[in-house]
Amino acid sequence: MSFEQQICDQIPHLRRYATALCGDPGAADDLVQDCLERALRKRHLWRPSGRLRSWLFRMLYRLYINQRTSAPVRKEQPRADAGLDQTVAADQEDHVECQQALEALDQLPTEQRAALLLVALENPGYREAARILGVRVGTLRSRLSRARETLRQERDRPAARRRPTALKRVK
Amino acid sequence: MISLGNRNAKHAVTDEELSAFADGELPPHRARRVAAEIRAHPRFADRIHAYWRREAALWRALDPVFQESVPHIEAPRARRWPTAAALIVAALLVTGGALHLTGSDPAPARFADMVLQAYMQPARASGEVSAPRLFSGLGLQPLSQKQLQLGGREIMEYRYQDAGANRLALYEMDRHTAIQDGWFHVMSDKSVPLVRWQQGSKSYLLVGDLELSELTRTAMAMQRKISRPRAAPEQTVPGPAGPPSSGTASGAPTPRDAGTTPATRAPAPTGNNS
Repeated sequence: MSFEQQICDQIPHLRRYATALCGDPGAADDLVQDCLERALRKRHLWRPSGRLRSWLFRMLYRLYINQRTSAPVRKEQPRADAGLDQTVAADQEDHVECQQALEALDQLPTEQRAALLLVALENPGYREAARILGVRVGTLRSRLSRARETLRQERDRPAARRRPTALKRVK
Repeated sequence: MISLGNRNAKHAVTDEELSAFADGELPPHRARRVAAEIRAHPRFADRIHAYWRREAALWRALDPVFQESVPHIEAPRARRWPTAAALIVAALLVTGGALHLTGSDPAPARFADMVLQAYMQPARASGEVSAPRLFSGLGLQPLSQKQLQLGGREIMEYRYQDAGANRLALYEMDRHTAIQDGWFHVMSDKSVPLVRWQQGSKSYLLVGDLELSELTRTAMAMQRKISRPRAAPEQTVPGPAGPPSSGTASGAPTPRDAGTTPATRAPAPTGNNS
């Protein structure tokens, strides 16, 4: 399978991860475009023996972090309904649970959110996930644990006491 | 963060260990110990179940993104595509949703339906000639070609069969817009997936009895074949026009018969219109 074809296979995965990170489909597509453009430019750096998924996701994550730090105006404005503007064939209760999960996600620090989303959505091993995020496995474990606990506690918290993330958007 | 216990306590299971256990990432000896604790203390199991349930909700919320239903992605902006690599990137980007035909083209969904109707017709009819062999290197056996009238537009249909006996049809039409769009547009909500792209002065639409990813790969390979100067033997075979050898895939508009000399033009259309 050619390099381009392998990249093509990863695009849906990259888009989902980018959408979850950015909270905004438009920003996510920009991020994926940047990632693919860079991947093709840096193609000579990729070793066929390595895993293309790790390489691409690491690139995507670094771009995301760089954009957050170097261009504050491009920081995402967390959307509590990210992903939910798509058709979701689910009952109301399920829909609410999905929305709550996304809202809770916005409470997490970027690093924890990136770790949790990567493991939950893409299911890499800890070693691969740590490599993608550029941290040690121990750090990854810690971030995952804290992220999960925050989400769990947020879920158990009565609705009235949850932080109103949907009101965070500022124009 | 509150731990469930510490290593000196009787129930030495930490949050981190539970989290790693949920991912199957604990060393076996430690996983056995945690499993024993979970059996003895249902609240540990509840906690893992809560993790998984939360992540399952995230998965469901984001699954539509994965399943490709982006309603619209704008064409790449010029500033972002300064190099030839940009074209490849654009070609790689599989976008979902509608086929964005612009200018005087008919409504995208309706046009896609018309193409699908044409695709469902029997492959061979009287007066048809052999389809071009331009894509023979892709393992595609040409079956037929004919000219159609769809939505008031003249369209060339080229039918192929792959090694697995799957049918494919490539539809080629003149572009009615000067807007450059180097993207692949995918429509997956039809009974058969479609992939559309623009190249030179043409628009192409590929339909096939294939998985969407496979169809997209084939479309990418076709795009490369069309943009590449044809080898001498293939120049004698009529086929999708594509840009001339000196052109680029999404460069200046190209005459329909570019790349073929008058002597190598396709036989006159037989008028087997739909």
